[in-house]
Amino acid sequence: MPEAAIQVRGVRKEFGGIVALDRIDLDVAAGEFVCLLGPSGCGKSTLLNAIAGFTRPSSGEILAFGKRVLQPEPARAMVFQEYALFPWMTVRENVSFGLQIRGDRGAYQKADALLDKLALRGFGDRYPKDLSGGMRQRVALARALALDAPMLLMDEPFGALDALTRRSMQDELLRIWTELKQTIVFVTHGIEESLLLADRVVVMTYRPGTVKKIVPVTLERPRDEATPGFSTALRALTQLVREEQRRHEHDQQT
Amino acid sequence: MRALRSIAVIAAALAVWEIVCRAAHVSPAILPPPSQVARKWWEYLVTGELPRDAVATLLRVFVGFAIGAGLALPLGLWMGARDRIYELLNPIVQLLRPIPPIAFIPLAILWFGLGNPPAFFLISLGAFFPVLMNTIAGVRTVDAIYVRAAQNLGAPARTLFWRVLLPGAMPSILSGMRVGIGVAFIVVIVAEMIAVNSGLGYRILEAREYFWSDKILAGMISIGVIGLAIDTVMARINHRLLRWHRGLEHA
Repeated sequence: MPEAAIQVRGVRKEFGGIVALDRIDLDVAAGEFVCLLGPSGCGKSTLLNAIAGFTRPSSGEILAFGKRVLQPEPARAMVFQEYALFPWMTVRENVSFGLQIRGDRGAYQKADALLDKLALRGFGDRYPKDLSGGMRQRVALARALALDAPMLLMDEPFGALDALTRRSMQDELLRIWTELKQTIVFVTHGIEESLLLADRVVVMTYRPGTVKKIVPVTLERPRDEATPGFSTALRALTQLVREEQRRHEHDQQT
Repeated sequence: MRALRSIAVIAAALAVWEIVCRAAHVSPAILPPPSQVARKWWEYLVTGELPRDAVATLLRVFVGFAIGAGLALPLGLWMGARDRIYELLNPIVQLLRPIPPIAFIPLAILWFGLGNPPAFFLISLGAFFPVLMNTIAGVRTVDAIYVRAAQNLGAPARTLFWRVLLPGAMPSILSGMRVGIGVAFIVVIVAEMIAVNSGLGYRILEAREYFWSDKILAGMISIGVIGLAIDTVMARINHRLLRWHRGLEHA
């Protein structure tokens, strides 16, 4: 068995008395696409932030490529839901920022090549505020791809986009992943989205966040929501998530 | 169209002023009519006295502002970026900040005597706190997500400061500077009334000794116009430097 790209071992995370994550064990293989799925408040973003190195687990440990995660690193490139593009930098400066830090002399050329690839040609000199949500997320993706990270961590990256734009971004991401085979951990609350994208879906429980079930997705790629196989998988997965959603709603009422 | 309306409103106000003065036979020593103020202003201008006063005042504003902002900016960046420094120095800042610069006049004269030095001291004090407070707040309120994104891209502390914290704080720093130069301009007038014998503040106080109300008003209007000009220039600079900023006012 190849060495896991990510190993999460007995991770627990508390914030001021609230247990956000508990007893998380998860292995992600190199080149695998894994979705973390669950209702809001299940700790899926907290888990992703811990894998990224933004927060430390209260107990347990996380290994990335065999090394303990202690701080954020360019090798684990993050794509944020709110894009987190630097508004004071142009698109080109945003995409080349990591390359410049690394001291890459061809930073701008590389950035422009990536912009071409992501259908952003000609937008290099614009500021993020001049772009639509979909285009901003393309820029954020380009910025994460610029450093050729072997791992992408994506926190509900398409959550704020309209349905059509989201769909085309999903296709774009799958195209990139098919070509470059990064290890991807993708947080979402979209059940369909997780079935379209992932090799495996990690369904998480609501408060405390634990792994409820890991569902392998065996559907043939490219996947199509209109096939009976997809509908069957969707129904089964929806059932699982619903149980947690109900606990979440129950919590809010009381 | 809007400009035309503004001019019409001002013209109407001047007309009312003129009519009131003439109809009620107001003593020109109390309130001269605008026509007399305008004549006096013209005389004040062409004799070269007004340009000399204006230059003297502006010079004091710029020197004082440069000193005050020049000290406040690095200190504010330091306090904003380092929690330890902030906790250490914030109590002193909070204690000194509410003291109006005007209240420092007696000390300023004791320390620096008369002339430009106490004026520079007071003006720089007036500019110091707005720039300091806004710089601290600007750095401290840079959204944590930008810091995370930069760290994720491998930014070392220096890069984080120069390319993330500083530009992120820039809107707040610049609005602090705009307020700071406004306060500097207020303080310069007061300082000139007390410590020096040139400049617009000195001139209107001097005019009072002779009951030259027309000259007082001519001086006041000049102060207003110059203050407006300074603020307009600052707004332009802000606008230019913050092209990327979304919540920009359209000056």
